[in-house]
Amino acid sequence: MQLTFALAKGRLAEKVAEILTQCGIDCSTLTAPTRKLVLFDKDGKYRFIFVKPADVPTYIERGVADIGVVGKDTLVEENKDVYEMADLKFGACRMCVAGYPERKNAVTSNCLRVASKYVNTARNFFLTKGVNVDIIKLNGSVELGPVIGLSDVIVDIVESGKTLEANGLVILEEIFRSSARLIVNKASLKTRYDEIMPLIEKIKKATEGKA
Amino acid sequence: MKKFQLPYGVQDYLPQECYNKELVENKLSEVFYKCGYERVETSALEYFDLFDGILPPSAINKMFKMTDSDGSLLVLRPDTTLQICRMAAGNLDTGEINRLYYCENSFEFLTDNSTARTREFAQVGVELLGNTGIDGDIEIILTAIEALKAAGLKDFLIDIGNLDYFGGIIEECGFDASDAKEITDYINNKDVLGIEMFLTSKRTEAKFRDALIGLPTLFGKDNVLDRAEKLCSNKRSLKAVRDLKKTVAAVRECGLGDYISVDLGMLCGNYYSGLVIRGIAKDLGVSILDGGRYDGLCGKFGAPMQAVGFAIGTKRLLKALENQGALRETLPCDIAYVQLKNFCKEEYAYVNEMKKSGKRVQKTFFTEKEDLLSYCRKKSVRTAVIFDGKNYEEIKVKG
Repeated sequence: MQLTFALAKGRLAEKVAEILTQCGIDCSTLTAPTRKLVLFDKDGKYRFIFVKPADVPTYIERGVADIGVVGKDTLVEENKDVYEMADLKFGACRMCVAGYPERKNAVTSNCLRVASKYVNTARNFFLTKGVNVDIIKLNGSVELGPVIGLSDVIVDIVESGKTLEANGLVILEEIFRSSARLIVNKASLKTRYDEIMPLIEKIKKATEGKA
Repeated sequence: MKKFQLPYGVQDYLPQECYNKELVENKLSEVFYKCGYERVETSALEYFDLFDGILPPSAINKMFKMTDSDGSLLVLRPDTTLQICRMAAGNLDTGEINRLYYCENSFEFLTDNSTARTREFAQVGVELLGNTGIDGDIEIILTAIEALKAAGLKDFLIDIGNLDYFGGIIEECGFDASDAKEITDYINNKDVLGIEMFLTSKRTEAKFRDALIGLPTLFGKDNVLDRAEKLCSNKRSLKAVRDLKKTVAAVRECGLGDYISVDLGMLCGNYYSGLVIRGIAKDLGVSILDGGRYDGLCGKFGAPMQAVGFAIGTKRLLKALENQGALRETLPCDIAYVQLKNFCKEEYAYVNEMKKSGKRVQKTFFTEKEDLLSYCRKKSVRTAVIFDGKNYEEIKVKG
């Protein structure tokens, strides 16, 4: 049976296709426009499935996909039981706490209100700091939180910082640095060692020295 | 009709699945029994206090708790191994070797209903208690392989590690418990970058850095243990490698080398102390068998002795077998019959006679001969019997 490769739809997938081509895998099917969610490489050695970024770790943990590429931000948030085999360096961003440079403390809110897509990341970060928080789950445009008064701060990934700047927000604290990671199912790595390890080595080589 | 939903993470076993579960449990039990293991059953309820202080908080949080009428806290069986250690204190002769096996459901309190884990899970496991040393490790690994083979599983591996290798290194580094926990998580996920960043923040010496960063790569079939030996110099780690070499060599000599691989970066469990093993199959993404040595655990219950064992997740094994196409169909009855008049003793005598000769006999409640015959054809029952009072007629049914 083919190795199943889980890819996050969008930019990450394009980048992965590029790397796999460098590894000698003909995956021109990946870049052609299609609405199919399951694709194969030319030699039929790999099966590619396209899923939402946050679902990549789930597919890998449950073993329906053997190997995948996903951002560290998603990996930390989803906290699934998978092997994290390599840092692919691309897709770099920072997980940050952002807000107004000076926060006016309201008498009635002694609890920090935090808006985020990354609720687990946010909860764990403030837990280790011993700060009481009220986590507000948002699904997008998180920067609006402090602007409109929904939250005091946000926890989100920052690439260029332009969105923050445009809304008058600044980075208050960096939680961790993120980039794309190669993840592997815990059983597949052992039971399909001879297929997976050479591929991992090739991918590592192809991404070495890149930023 | 009214339909009911179960709480998440529990299940019913319907006939088809239950039939296979029973088959598998019987096959595993037979392997263990033949190795001299004796079956035990443990209580489903325990006092919470028994486990408090023995298990880490992460495990304590995963227990189903309830209060007894006197206010004491009870838990649903979280893990049979712990109970067997409790049972050993006072009930077993700690100077002897005790071989026990079990076939029971344990419970894990989960709050994340999107996980692949279940809250109630069936396990079949063995515990080898007493002073057995490396020979005990070998016996346990061989038994694990025999058991999975007997269950009909193919393409599986028993991954073997030893916690003392990692333990020796962090002892030398002088990491405290919380540092050790953090780096354990990175190593378990083979997150080399995470390890690097952690060690940099701790300003760890170069020679330990190499050993710890190398740990996630110490897995596979060949040369792993030789490489491991070169990466460290402390006694505890080196002893772990030497023990593993002996264990692996013994399993290979038995001609079972294809069923094992080594992973020194496997740091699992809450109470394991040396050997750790994990069974995985090509057709299932999660482990099927987990086990290891827990020499310190019985002592915590007041009966100090060595121990080693493993548990097989019955449901996971069934899933792997299904993926390999190895599950069986339930068998039809051999005979189905109707009584066209009232029940009589001759009918009872006939059924008993048939059962004695090894047949499986089922009464049906049709009123017409034709209905019985079409039922037999549909259910692949080969013999239909029609009772008309005391007299009966046997009809062979063709499929």
